[in-house]
Amino acid sequence: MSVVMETVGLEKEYPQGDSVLRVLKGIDLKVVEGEFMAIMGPSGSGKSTLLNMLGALDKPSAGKIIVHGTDLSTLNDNELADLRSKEIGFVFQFFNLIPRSNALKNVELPMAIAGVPRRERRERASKLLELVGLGERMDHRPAELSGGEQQRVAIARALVNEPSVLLCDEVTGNLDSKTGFEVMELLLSFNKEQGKTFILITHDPNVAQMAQRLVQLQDGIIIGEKKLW
Amino acid sequence: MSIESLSERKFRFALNLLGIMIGIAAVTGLISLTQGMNNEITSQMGILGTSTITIIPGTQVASMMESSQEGGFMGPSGGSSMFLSTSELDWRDVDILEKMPGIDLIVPGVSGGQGVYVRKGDTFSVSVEGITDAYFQINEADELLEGRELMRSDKAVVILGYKLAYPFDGEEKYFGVGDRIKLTTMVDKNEKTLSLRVLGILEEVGSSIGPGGGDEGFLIPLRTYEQFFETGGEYTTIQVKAEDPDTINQLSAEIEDALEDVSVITSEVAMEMVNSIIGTIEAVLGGIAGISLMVAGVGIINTMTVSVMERTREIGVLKAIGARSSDVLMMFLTEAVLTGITGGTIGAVFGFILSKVVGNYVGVTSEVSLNLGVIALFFAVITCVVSGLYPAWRASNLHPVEALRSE
Repeated sequence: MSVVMETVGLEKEYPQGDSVLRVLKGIDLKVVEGEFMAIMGPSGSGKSTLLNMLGALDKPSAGKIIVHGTDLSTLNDNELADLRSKEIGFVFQFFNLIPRSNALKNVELPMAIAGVPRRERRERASKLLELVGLGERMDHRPAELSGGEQQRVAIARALVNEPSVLLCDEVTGNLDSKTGFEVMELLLSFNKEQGKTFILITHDPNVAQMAQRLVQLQDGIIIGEKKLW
Repeated sequence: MSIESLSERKFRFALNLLGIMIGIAAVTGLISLTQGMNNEITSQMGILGTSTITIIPGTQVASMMESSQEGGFMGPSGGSSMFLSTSELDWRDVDILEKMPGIDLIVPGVSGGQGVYVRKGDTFSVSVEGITDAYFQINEADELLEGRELMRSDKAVVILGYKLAYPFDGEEKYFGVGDRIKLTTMVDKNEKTLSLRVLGILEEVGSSIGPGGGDEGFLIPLRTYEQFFETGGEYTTIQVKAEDPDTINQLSAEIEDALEDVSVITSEVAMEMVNSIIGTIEAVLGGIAGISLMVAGVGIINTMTVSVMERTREIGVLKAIGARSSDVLMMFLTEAVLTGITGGTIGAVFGFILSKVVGNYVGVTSEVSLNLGVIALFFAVITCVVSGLYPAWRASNLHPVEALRSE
């Protein structure tokens, strides 16, 4: 199995008044293609910061992030944007859909940014929305959808450009436990049936227990790791 | 939240649109009005003809023209004293001109005579001008609607301005060819009366100024004028027709040298003077309209900045799913361009309609040109883009992580 993502001695500091706040203190992590990894830790452990850096949204203070063999520090802002467009899919806790656009338009958006022709956009977006169980609700705006449905739209949006990795930021954090479980099932089905790679951060042990590999983060370092299946 | 913010955004977009619309409507409206005014004056100046030189007494007008030609605006020599000249033109000047080469026709004229006449019990006052039979050869734009031109042998005759014969545009005819008009005036406290036979009626020129008193003057033979108003041998103008229009500038310089204390006006010089005055009017009005456009621009900066702040999180999302900074910049600029195109188009149309309405009211045919419309649209778009540039730049430079974290 090939390595999709790798971090080497990853550090991140934020200036805070006169001192600095060290959020990540040297993270070495390998993400293998097709795995479903959960990073668990209490709030303030640095898991969100780690995820943002894996998603090329933020730059490390020290250390390296390597995606498909490319050191991200060698890429300029436009190249990083293109990498996010093609290789990475984000799913957020608060769904972050565009409120003015319906479900279909929301799923089409990443393809529009990537320059996919209009007809293909429509076709791929509607196919994916059917796959996540929203075939009947494509013309609904986010406000007209439930939380679980909105998260399904967000998952379809993250998958639509066929990225190498999906980064999920507390995706069940804003859902009730039953809906959260259904969303996890959906993610797992994409992992098992289509071999998609997932990195998921959560502070919820129940959610973390569903992952294939569990990485525990505390105070900016990895304190434990185990394979669950 | 989403539906509310949508209608809120529509409302703000509409306000921006309105701002640009008003600005552009003001610009196009005012400019098409001044253009129309320019056209009107230019066509009236065209009456002078390209080979005609008009000589008037005094040097003030000439020096004012020089200053306007140099780009100055009404130098100290201009102003109110320009027509209060003590010098006069007379037969000696005509004599000098007759000896000069390159001159085809010399037409002395005298104006300023005032008189009254009575028609069916109503008394009207009128301006009278004395002309010679060559008048119509030089003032080719003055065409006769009825009757005939003046001949050397004509004495107690009058050619009427259009409005004197048809005060209500042809509805009722006040005088016809062959009618008699009794003209009364006071000369040295003595009342004098002269019976004139209507020889002809001029076509409408659309103005009460210009040679011949326009639509509201009497043209009578020069000799008759001199006898009646007792102005022996003095003229208020001498019109000269050059044999060759190309020599007109040289000829006018020669005339200026040969005759003492006169101003020489060619259609070219007169046009330049008018253009410089209209240019100033246009600049002032355009400036006022430009300010309203600027205010609209400030409004756009404001609303777009608010819009960027509101959509910070959305911008973060866009960046997370692969949008480049330039994509975000273009997104906001597109919105600005759209505002400019929509507001500019509607504004220009409104401006043209406004200029027509106001033009009708003040009696100016405003010029509606595609060119002006396109230029106005261009300015609308430029204003919107320039105003949108800073907010759009701010949006595109947002850090994705911080943008995602914002509420």
